[in-house]
Amino acid sequence: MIRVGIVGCGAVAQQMYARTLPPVANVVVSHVCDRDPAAADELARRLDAQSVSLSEAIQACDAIIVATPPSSHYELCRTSLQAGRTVVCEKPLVGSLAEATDLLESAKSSGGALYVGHFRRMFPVVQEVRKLIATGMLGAVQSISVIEGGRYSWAVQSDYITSDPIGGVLFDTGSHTLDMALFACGLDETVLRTSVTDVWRDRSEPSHELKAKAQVYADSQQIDLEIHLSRYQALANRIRIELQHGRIDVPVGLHNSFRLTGKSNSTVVRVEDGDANYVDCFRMQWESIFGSAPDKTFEARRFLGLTSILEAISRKPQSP
Amino acid sequence: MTTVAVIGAAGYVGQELVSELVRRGREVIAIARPATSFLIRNEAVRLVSPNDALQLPPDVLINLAYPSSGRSYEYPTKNRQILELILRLAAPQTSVIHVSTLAVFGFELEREVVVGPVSRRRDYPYIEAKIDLEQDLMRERPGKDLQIVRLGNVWGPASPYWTAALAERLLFGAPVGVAGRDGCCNLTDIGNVASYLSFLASQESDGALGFHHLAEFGHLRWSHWISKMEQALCLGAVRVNASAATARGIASELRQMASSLSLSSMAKQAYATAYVGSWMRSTVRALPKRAVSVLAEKAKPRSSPGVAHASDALFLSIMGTPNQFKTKVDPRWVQAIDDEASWHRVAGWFAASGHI
Repeated sequence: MIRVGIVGCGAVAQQMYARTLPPVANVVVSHVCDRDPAAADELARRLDAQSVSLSEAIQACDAIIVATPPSSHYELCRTSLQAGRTVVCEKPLVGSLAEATDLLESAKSSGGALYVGHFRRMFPVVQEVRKLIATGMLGAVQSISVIEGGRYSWAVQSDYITSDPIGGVLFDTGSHTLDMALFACGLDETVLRTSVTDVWRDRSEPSHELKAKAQVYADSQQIDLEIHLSRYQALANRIRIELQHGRIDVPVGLHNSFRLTGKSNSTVVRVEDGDANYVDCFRMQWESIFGSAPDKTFEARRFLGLTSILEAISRKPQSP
Repeated sequence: MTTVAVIGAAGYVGQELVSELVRRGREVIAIARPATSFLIRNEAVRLVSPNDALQLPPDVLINLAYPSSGRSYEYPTKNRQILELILRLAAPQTSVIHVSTLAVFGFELEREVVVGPVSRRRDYPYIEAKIDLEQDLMRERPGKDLQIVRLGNVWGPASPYWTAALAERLLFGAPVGVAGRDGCCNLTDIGNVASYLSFLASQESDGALGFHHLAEFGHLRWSHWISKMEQALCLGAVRVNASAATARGIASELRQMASSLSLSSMAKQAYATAYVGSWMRSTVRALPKRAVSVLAEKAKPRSSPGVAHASDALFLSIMGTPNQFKTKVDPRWVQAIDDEASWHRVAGWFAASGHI
């Protein structure tokens, strides 16, 4: 039985972890901690766990889930990894490639392991599109456009979205959307270089609306990247992947279909067993990480390219 | 200057309303949760949290808040909190405008539509909550100015439940209707909603209870808008056949019912004396007439083209309603946006938001 400690008892822990971790067969949430003792006590009561300090949680548990505001991820992950623990970090991992690489080094030297909770990789449609692109039938990826927007309504329990330098819409929502695109295109295991050409944001980071254009280089391949994210208003909410022989539109939310467009025709592809909901996808994520047959989908090394793109965009000054 | 306080100012209607009130020269107090107050970007607005006290009661208080998230057993508690907030902020002389929905007559408008009070009844939790808040306000503010405005389906640029959702359905081939059932759209444009509420806020208080129904495009069918969307987005709409829609609908309802009937949630529902078993009642009531379709559906392949997704049932029933929500508004109000202008606004948003 894997003893898991949850660090950070805010919205995602209450709404998702508390519902999706207990059913995982070989996992028991034994300890929780939070700067707010009342939040920790409440989650501890729900999960029949102990509310403890961070050091006690790290000492007592085999695995630590970090679900705190983004800027605290690096220190909390590093401390837990240095103690040799398996760590699952809620997205976004960290704000820079250097920090991400450093955490991987920490994991390697201490015998720990680091995963990142980008549960949208488990969306059935994303998995299916990844398989389709991997066949090579549609040729190489030429451009990616990610658009996601909706009026902010998440029951956040800290002020990270307005105060944390990596709490803006780019790292908060954009990390999800861009990761879905990179994962679907099979670009999550490739070293990526990014050249950002244009950035517009509604305010300095953390921003609530952002548009960016960039070129991403994967080996010798150049991919044009366009991003539009908003916390203010609904947008098209789709990822568009242009390939040599066709185009794929992927929903950013849970649908059971995607759209495939060729030179003269367009069709909707329905995914068998595509009716998974968010809870199902979280459970699949935990199974992938903690299950009896774990795979490598959420290993932190597969988020280095994502982190480098996010960092490059976040550091680019506003275009004139 | 008239002071207007808006509860739920960070919402879709709230943001538009606040801008309209400012444009009309009102002093606006926007009440929103701290987590979403950043959505209100109008610098002329005074932002306050629901927990803050106002130095002076507003002349007009517009409530847009309703229980919209979380579990249904939490709705009565959330309703109570909204009611307490209204009563705390409104003085006896304050005009209260409470924004409600056509759904108090059922999602398909299957109940008789009356421009007056609606009795409490068992229904979907959302509907029960909406009716309860209307009733609670009438009970708590007898003889004081209270205007209850029931909105049709609110659409316009970036409308999350209609414009954006329909465009997404078109793109990903989700059904937008049932073949042969071109329902009444019962739409109201967000611009007209803001205009009408602002108009009401500018009227002298007469200390009476009033009811208003706003769905200025209610006479149009859904096909009117969907054909325009198909053309603008270069996409074809999917409509399912009737038996598929009902069969998948019951599957969806049973699934939702099962997921909401965990032991812990049942205990919480009982404890909260909430809308106990609303889902169950809705589903059981619907069972007999749908049972045949369910059996028929079992013989079909699971993902045949045009079959509704499990979550589509309620949406499709709304899209197919033959009942029109007729507008009943103050005749002195001048409608700001006609259907043509409304479409142009939406088409402009499609272009700006990445749909085209």
